[in-house]
Amino acid sequence: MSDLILQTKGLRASYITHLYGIDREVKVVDGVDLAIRKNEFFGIAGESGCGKTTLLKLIAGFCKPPLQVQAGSVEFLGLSEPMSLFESTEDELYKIRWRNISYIMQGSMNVLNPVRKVFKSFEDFAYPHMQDLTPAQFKQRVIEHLGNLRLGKEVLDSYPHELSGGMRQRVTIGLATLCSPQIIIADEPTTALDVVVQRETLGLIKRIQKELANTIILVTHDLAVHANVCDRIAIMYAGTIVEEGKTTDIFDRSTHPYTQHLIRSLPRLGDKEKKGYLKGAPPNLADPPPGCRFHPRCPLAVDRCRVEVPRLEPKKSGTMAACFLAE
Amino acid sequence: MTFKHLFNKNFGKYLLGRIGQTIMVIIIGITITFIIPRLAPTNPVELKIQQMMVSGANIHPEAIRQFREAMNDIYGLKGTLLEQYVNFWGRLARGDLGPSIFSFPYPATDIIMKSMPWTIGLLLSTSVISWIFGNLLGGLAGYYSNRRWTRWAELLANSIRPIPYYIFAFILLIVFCFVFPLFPTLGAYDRGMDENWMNPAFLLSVLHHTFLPALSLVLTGLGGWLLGMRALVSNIISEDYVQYAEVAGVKKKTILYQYVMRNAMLPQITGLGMSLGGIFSGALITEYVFGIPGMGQLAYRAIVGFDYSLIMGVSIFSIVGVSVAVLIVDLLYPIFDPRVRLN
Amino acid sequence: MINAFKGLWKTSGYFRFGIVALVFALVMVILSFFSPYKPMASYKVPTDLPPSFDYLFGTTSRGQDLFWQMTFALRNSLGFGLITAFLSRILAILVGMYSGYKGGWFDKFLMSINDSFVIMPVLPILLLLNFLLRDQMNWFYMALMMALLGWAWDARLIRSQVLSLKQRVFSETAVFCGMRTRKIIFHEHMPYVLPVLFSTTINNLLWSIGMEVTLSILGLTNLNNPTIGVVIYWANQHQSMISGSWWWVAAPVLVTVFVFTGFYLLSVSINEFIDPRTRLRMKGGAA
Repeated sequence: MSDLILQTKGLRASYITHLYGIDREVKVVDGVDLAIRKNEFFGIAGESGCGKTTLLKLIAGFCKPPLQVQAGSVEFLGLSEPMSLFESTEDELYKIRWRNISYIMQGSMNVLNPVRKVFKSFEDFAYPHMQDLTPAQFKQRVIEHLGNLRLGKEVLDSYPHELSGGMRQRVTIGLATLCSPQIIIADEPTTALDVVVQRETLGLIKRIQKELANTIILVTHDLAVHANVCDRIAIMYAGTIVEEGKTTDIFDRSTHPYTQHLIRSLPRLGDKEKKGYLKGAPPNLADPPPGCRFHPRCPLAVDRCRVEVPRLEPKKSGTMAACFLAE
Repeated sequence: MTFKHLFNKNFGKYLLGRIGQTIMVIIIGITITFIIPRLAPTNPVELKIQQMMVSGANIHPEAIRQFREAMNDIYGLKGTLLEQYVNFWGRLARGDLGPSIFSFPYPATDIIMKSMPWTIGLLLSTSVISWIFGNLLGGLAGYYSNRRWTRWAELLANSIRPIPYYIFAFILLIVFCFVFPLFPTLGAYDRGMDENWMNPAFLLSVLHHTFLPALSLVLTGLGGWLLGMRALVSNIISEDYVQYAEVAGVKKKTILYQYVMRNAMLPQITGLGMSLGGIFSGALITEYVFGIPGMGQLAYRAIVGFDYSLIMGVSIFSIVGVSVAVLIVDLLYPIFDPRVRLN
Repeated sequence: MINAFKGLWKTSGYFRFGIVALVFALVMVILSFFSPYKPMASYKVPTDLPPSFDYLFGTTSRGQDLFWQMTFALRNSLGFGLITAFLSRILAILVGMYSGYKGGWFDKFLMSINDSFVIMPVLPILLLLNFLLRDQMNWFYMALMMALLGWAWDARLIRSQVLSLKQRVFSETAVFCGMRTRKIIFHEHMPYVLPVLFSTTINNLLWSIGMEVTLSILGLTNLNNPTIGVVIYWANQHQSMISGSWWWVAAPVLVTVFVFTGFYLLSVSINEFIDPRTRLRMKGGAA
């Protein structure tokens, strides 16, 4: 227990809308159990629309209407007492935001306030949590920190639109790491970048994790990225975790049909095999299929899959999978 | 923000473009003002002559002919259309609009200059107040969109906004001058008072008289800004940088003012420039209703008295005044949006 | 469509109010064709009677039944506004869509003219025009003039809509298929522009009737043909407030406020319904 930093238990959340007489509930996170350890690089992979970003926001303790938590909990274990995020007050959450849990957001294009200088953004985000420093000390700390990311101090005086995409991404990373948080949540940090910058950024994030020895939760649909940096991976489909385990286990010995399909469809050098494709489309989360959510597209589906929901259980391969047919 | 940021090449281009636009508006507007009377079948000089003849005097035809020539000269109606046009601009440049018929021989320019400060004062104060408060309230309404007061504020704004300036001013007049006689009706200050801006009694009187017209203009304008800002804020809330700040736990007040409102008000600045023409028309109408001795009253007197040069003058001053005001607003925009400064 | 109507009726108070105002206006307009009095007739009924069952809105100092006067007034004002709105729609669509689509110097040129009309204060010019041409002025010419002065703002709105449409993939596809410009503008883009058009129509309508009211009150229009402004003009001429016939002014003012507010709220509610972004915004407040 003491080597965990964050735990979700049976987390269920939906988007609920009432509009012009039509009520709708989109079950975007439907029973997620995660146990994330300290000093770990944890990855969450899945298609667009499977609920990854929403899950991340919930892990960060962020839940705004129309999103509602229906059941379950998220517990942060980095303080002296376990802290259930959705039962805490705004003030308690405010204390751990950015200082203990920080966030790197998807798309570096527009994440910084366009009418505010970069240094002001640092002040807004980080200074409230570093009140023990004088303003001058704070500025010095920021300059040093950015220096580590190979950004000069003129960046502080610039506006976001004056920086290149790669520079903006490094600023965002700098923002997220300034307070040396225990958990850094990164939502598709490399998706909007070209391959060269992507490699640099990933290397940067890996280096930071080693230096701070903290936990990084990385979300991306690109499995190759996961293979590169993560220690453990969770595969998400239609709001549930279908498989979870060490990176090597997932890639070499996965047992869930969906995971296997994902791994098989990764192109490799010298691989001339024709790739198959999954028939059908990801389910409509407002009206998900009964039983196992994957069964309409699963080549191995049996009757039981259409009725019962499989739970994540340890399999012989070493991973945990949610499938009745896996060993 | 340093001067270095302002005086670079791209800002120079922006400046030039805006000034060019302003000049174009003025030229088009003044040309229209020039053409309209000359297309009209009614000729102010003939009108005046008719008026004189109707009043019963028996005038020698030679005198009439000389009068006509002199008036044509004064009003710039001699020569071909092109000659008149050039002449017109020449005289405008000298500030010469011709004498007012109604208050002959006072130059129309002087009469207009006397009433302009009232209009400018009313216009400036009310548009600034309604813009600032409208945007502030609209921003709060957009951000705290679940509170009950938001719905009431929206309802109020929606109810006032479609009402024409005249009707709203008229309603205020009836309610607060007749039904509950709290405010005086006509004029900008009590009768018999000398116009002495150093006298506190005078100032108080002015405030008392101009409160209702100012209120009328502020209320009709505020609704529009409120609704516009609310819509803008609702869109901006879903922008990446706002969501990021919220997830990061930045203080709510900082987000509201520095992240949401600072960005949402940018289109409103442009909007202010674009609506100045309409606000100006509204100010004229409101002045007429409340008897404020500004350009509105002047325009009405000029129409009733067939005072041709005065009407021309009011039109020209309005066009130039509003265009310059819009230019100033446009030039202020880069102060608020750093992206325009370099781009 | 019927479902949309029902949904809006149930959920939006604005919509309900707007429909009531619309029905009221229509009823008045229809009634005007059954009026027992001619519009310009005067001294047909006793003067200065307050509202009663015989004379719903009272009578005027000129011996007219105010109720039937108001039916004519509403009909004429609305008719005038509709003509103006219609004419200015044509201009706004032509300029907005062609300018937005063509771009380049064509767009820049049209837009600078457009901005000139937006910036220019319209009232002084209208005053000048009506002052000089009042004998020649009939309602159609005035509508034409208003249309010429009032198209600019809406043209700009339409243009920005077209600009965003231009960047979407289906527009590029149409060009690559060799579709003629005119066809692209009117067949492909028009359905997206229609909602913007609709909302601006009502605003333009209200604006032009507002202008008409103002000009009539100043006595600059054809004062024999009853419109809302003309009724108020005569009321002022006869000092109705001071002489006690307050209903002569109250009726047109109240009718105006009711109809204007109703139409405006109607357009607001329909706009909210059509615009997908409003739905997103409203979803944010569902919990």
